[in-house]
Amino acid sequence: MQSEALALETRSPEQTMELAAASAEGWRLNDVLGLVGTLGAGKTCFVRGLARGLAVEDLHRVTSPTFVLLRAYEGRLTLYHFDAYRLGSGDEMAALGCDETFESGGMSVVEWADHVRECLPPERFSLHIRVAGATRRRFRLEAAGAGPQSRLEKFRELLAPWVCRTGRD
Amino acid sequence: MRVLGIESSCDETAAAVVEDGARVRSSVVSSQQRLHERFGGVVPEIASRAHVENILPVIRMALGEADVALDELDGVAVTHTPGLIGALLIGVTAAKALSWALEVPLLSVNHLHAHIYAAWLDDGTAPPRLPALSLVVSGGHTSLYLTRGPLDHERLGGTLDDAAGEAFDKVANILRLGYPGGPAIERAAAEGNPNAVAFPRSWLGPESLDFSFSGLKTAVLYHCLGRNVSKEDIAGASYEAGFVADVAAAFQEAVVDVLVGKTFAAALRHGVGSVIVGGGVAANSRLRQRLRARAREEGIQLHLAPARLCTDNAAMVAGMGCRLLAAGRTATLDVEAVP
Repeated sequence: MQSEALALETRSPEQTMELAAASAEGWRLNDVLGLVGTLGAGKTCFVRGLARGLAVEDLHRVTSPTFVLLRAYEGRLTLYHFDAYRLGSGDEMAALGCDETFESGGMSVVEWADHVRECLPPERFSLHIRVAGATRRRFRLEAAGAGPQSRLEKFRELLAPWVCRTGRD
Repeated sequence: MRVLGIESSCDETAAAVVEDGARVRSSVVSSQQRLHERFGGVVPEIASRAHVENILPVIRMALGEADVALDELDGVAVTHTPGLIGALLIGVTAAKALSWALEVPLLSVNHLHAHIYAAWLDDGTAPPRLPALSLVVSGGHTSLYLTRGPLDHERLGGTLDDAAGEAFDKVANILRLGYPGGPAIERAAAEGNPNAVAFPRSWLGPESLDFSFSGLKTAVLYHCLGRNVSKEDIAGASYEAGFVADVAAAFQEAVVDVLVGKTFAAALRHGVGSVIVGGGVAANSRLRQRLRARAREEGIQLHLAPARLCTDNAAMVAGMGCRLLAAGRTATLDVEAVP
């Protein structure tokens, strides 16, 4: 499946949170967003910003779910925050009941999505984060499937301040 | 008053009987650590299955060791939040069934508050002077509370990203030291120089009582392997023992600096009479040593539970259950496990 992509860049963790918050308006019920990036790339940082954009009240609860594997936050829509860092396979992710959660009327974000790719729905978004400097990060927002692809332009508008003009990364 | 406590929020299945909120009659912990070692973490499916297998034998053992019969219990307390949902459910379901069958009250306990409550369990020391400043520091949590009573905790701050114990685990993984990371780092650090590398301390401004350990973890990764390495690069890395010892010691010192610094900054700001520290990371001997030294310096009473009561256990749950029962704060059978 051909996937369309949007290249973005931020220069600090604060900017990453601003970018994530600005994306909030674009997300819809039952969206699944996979985050891919190494240790320290800024995955949890992105989710904190997204939670702020979704008007999650208990922002202090938005922390790395590595140990608990899944947290849920109530905001403009329910944000399910998965972390597959410690999961070796999709079976373990399935045991968490991710299929039900993905379709339960919130939006789901999955850190370390590359560990459990086979568990993610075919129609989904992926955000690849690359470390480009001590605090500089490059992002590729990919849309898989016709539905998500048709919405990439909306994200291009919402995230205009961070869109890279220098082509693909 | 005798209360049975049940704890299954993460990888330990535990049951305990506590009398009058202080006297620990029994405390049984069945750890799944060996199961998880092979997988480098807590795997939910394994955790849930093992809890199911362990829970009844563990409860039976706790009652046996306490020499208390089921019909001599005045209540059943259980951790209902926070934790791994599938794991929590098993303890909560067992507690509900017992409460219903025995016709005794059900008490639902917050796992983090229970870690603080361990300071009230009878270990030969006086109960904490109130108000107290409490630090709960473990694999899943790093939080500060102003404790006004054994059931009264106001959250002052906590981690914005990784918990301290999670940073220990991730750094142990970077250094190829195995799971669980806390004891592995501590062992390696014993041979190292804490000043060998100047890792960053994240203070988040002079007023902040929040923590951030994600940047420290990243700094260790950059120091060991450079930027933008993949998980495969980390898995394939190898280092000399002296390098590992120095990085472990310098990392541990950075974590301990911030934990001790923030805890006592908060204690002084709130003019408390004592400091309470609980949670699995409180078993770290370097942290214990530095907390004791600082408490002496400041003239503040320190409540540092023995290691067996720092790590997850059910005595703290049963003890807190006694207090909840005495206060009439019982739960109903529709109480839910909340991750």
